[in-house]
Amino acid sequence: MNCLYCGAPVLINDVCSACGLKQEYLIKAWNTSLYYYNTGLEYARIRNLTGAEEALKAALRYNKANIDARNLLGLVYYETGQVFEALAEWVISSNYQPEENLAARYLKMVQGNQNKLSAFDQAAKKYNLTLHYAQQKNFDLALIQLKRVLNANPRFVKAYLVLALIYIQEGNLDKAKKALQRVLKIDKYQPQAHYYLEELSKNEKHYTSRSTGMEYDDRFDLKATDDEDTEEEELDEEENAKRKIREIIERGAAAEDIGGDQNLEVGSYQEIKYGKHNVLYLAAGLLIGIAAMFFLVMPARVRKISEENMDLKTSYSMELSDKNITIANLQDNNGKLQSNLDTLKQQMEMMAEENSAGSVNDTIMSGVQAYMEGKHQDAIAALGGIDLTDGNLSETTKNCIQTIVNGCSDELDTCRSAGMTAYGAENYQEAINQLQIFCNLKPEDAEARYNLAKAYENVGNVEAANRLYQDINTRFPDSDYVTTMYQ
Amino acid sequence: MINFDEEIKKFQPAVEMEQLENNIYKNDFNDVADVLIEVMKQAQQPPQNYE
Repeated sequence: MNCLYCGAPVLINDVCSACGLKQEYLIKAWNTSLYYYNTGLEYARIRNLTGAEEALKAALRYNKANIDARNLLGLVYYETGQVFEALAEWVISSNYQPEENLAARYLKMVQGNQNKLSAFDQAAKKYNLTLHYAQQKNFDLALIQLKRVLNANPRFVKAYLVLALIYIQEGNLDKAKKALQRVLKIDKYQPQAHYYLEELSKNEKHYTSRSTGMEYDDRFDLKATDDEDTEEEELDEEENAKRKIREIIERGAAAEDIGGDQNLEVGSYQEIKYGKHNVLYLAAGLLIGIAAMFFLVMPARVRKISEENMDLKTSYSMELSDKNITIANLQDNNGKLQSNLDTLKQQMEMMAEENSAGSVNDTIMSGVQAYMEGKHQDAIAALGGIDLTDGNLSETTKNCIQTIVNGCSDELDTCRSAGMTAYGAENYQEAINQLQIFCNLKPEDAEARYNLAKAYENVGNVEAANRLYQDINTRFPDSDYVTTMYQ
Repeated sequence: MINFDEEIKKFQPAVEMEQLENNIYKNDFNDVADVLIEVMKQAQQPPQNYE
């Protein structure tokens, strides 16, 4: 067996060989320590935190290495807002038992949030300053500081007690009672709070009379203790801490069977997850932006585009209508102009025919005049342009011309001979000139017409040549000059 | 009756962050075993002669 205190072997007389302690005393001391720990645990379960603190301190006096008692004492301190006292207990606990110790986890959780730890430190400093102001009766400054202290550390029992004391001193009993009720909510059997409340109920008139002539101070109003919403939020935040205190209670209850009734509440020290919040804010911002785009910007944009399209369509329709009207007008004008043109053409043709008839008459008259003057050659030259086979010539005109032709037969023979000679000499143009006069005035000479056709053919006037070939075939079908060899 | 001056004297200053280390050393008080060892040590010392 080894010594419970130093670990050295124990002698047969139950005394440690190294430290000399009798093991019986040590066992009794450790049992007493466990007894006080269990007592403190029971007190903590019924929220008698002051009683729990005293019992746990006693447990540590009998065995300073009672880890569970020390850890629970730290939790009691933390619950009553004494954060650095709690940290001290947990540090000592971790020092005694570095492994498998809940205190290490508590330390990590509290020290992990440096912002909150710094706020607790500032609250402790301001509380100390408040005590200084209160001792100097400088209640205004004390109340201002207390407001800041309780905002940073809302479970600081001592601060509530000082606040209540100041309110009592100022005669503001309602607020004092409210502060004391808040204390009793954290620590049900807090003796100072009970003492102050008892005194207030006994001597209320006395404390109220103090406020006569004093201005009511409403600078710092406590939140209502029955504010259930606030309480629920606090309870949610403290769920983790509750679970931890249950664990240590169950661990430390080795000497006694602990029931399942867990009404103990402790302070909160949950770390704020800023990164998660940032992502949420970013996602919410994006959603709001997209929604605003969808519901505000897009409809206006679509409406504007629709209006532009409608305007464009209207302008195109108007332009198309104008064009159609213009086209209809132009078509109408075109029809009128075409009819005018046709009318003018007919008039021109009629005038040309009248001019032509006039010209033939003039030619005949000049031919007749030359013949009557005895100028037979000139008469033939003047009449040579008139074809006696022309259907337009009247019978009178034909007879007149025929009379002149009979009178000028010698000159016509000469003309025929000159034409034949020119044709024989392959002077086709001269042959055409002479033979054309002869054939016009003597249309019954098939040979002369044939030679004239050949002369035309040789100069390339195929149309005139064919006309003459057809005439020969029609009027002289039995002659030797009938031919089908023309083009 | 509540005497403010007497009551406010009962409130001790809170421990601040800078005082944490000192508080740890101060808080690690002796338990019964330490006291017994100290008593035994004193008992083993020869009695001092006082003039």
